[in-house]
Amino acid sequence: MNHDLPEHLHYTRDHEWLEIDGDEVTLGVTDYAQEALGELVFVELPEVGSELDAGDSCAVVESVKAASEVFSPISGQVIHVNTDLAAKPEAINTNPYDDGWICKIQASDPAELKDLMTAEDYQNYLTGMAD
Amino acid sequence: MSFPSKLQHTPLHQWHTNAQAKMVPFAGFDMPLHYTTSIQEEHLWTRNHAGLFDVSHMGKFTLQGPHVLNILEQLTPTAWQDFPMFGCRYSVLTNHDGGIIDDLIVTRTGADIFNLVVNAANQKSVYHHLWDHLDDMTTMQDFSEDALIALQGPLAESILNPLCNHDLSTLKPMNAIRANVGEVPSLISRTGYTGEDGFEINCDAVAAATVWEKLIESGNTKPIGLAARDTLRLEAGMPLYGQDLDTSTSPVEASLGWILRQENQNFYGHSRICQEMVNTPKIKRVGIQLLEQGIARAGAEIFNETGTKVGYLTSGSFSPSLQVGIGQGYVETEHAQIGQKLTIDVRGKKIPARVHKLSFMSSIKEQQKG
Repeated sequence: MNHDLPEHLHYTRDHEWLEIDGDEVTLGVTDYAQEALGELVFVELPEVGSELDAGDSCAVVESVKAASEVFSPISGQVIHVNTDLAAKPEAINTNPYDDGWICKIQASDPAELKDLMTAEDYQNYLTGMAD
Repeated sequence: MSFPSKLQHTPLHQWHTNAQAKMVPFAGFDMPLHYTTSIQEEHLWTRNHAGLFDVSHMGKFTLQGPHVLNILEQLTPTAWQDFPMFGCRYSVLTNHDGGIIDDLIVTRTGADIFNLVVNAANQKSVYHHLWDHLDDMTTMQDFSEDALIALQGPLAESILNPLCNHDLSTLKPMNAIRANVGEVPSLISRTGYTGEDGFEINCDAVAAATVWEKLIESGNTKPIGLAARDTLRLEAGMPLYGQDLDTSTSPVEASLGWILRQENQNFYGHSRICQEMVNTPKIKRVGIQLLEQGIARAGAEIFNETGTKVGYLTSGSFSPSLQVGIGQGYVETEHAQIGQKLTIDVRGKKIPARVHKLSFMSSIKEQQKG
């Protein structure tokens, strides 16, 4: 199955995407993830100002059936959250890379960004998972 | 390393895979979780039109013989002597300690013949339990390989009636008849697991696809998977065995005291169950409604207003009809009255909630009218 994977974004093995603008990083879940999760009905957002370590859970997305954690691959402080998701969690399904963004993080360790996958790497990773 | 599983198939398995359903293992069967639309759409389609469910995985037994009434009155806390022909009744099988071995629907299909429909996950254990209680004059037939198709929703009667050689408008809830769907001989009961009007059609496995497709062709019903079946039954306040009921829980604790009958004093677990009826049990199964955004899942702990733990959730989900988190759980009886304010721990956060009637159907029907 083909999934939308914008070239300018970075990706994780846990199916998050990151848009890097200097040390400000926007985070969401990928098209693959939203499809696997099914229609989302609730998103628990992080608190603005909270400090994350790389690998911390920063949000929880819930479908009718199950709750799934969203992990931040980078350390830093949460500086914005997408409060529109409270009323419209399904924006993650319809526009995972746009209206469906979850939070913005002020990255504290730029070295962590080097471990992220490119769109091509992530595509290969998804293909490998399907085999 | 994964091992090939030996999942069983219902007679409609091929149909589900052709329809590109997402298939998952459930009670040893490869079953549709949902089809190509979302769980919420399937759920709401059932509430507003009618949904079609393959429930052929359920265990099905017939008991027959002159002593079958006595056997049933030992195994269930219900009375069966005066039970009318082709009546259907919900009951439970109790163990010696008054716990629940399974919940089931019993249909009387003859003076001394009873059909039992039990949970798929318990099919084997129930079979052995029944077998252990048969005498030389009682026979048991396992017809679990038959098809069982549920048509549930406000349009169910208008969809099934034209296909049937019997007028279903006269069939009362919790009653059954033998009739043909198209050309297919079936046992049709006005029963279900969604809180809606509806029917369950039991027919031979080879005819299952014919009946299923005839119903789909009516245009007003869509196939519904296990995920929506679960949210529908949760809104209707019905328990799911293995989650909301188990071998340590008594029917009184499970708020199923209404299935007990004075006339039957011979059933397993009588002393505990009667004592709980008189003295009220320590814990009770209640409905839970979350009062703020969020979804509490099975296992979440329930607290009173002063922060003391008073219970736990056994089922929890998002209600597609009400668009709030709802659930079922057990709370200490003193906190079980409707309207009681509680909080529920969801990932460390205490979300305000209240005790609700087990069934949310009256709120849902009110909302549909408005």
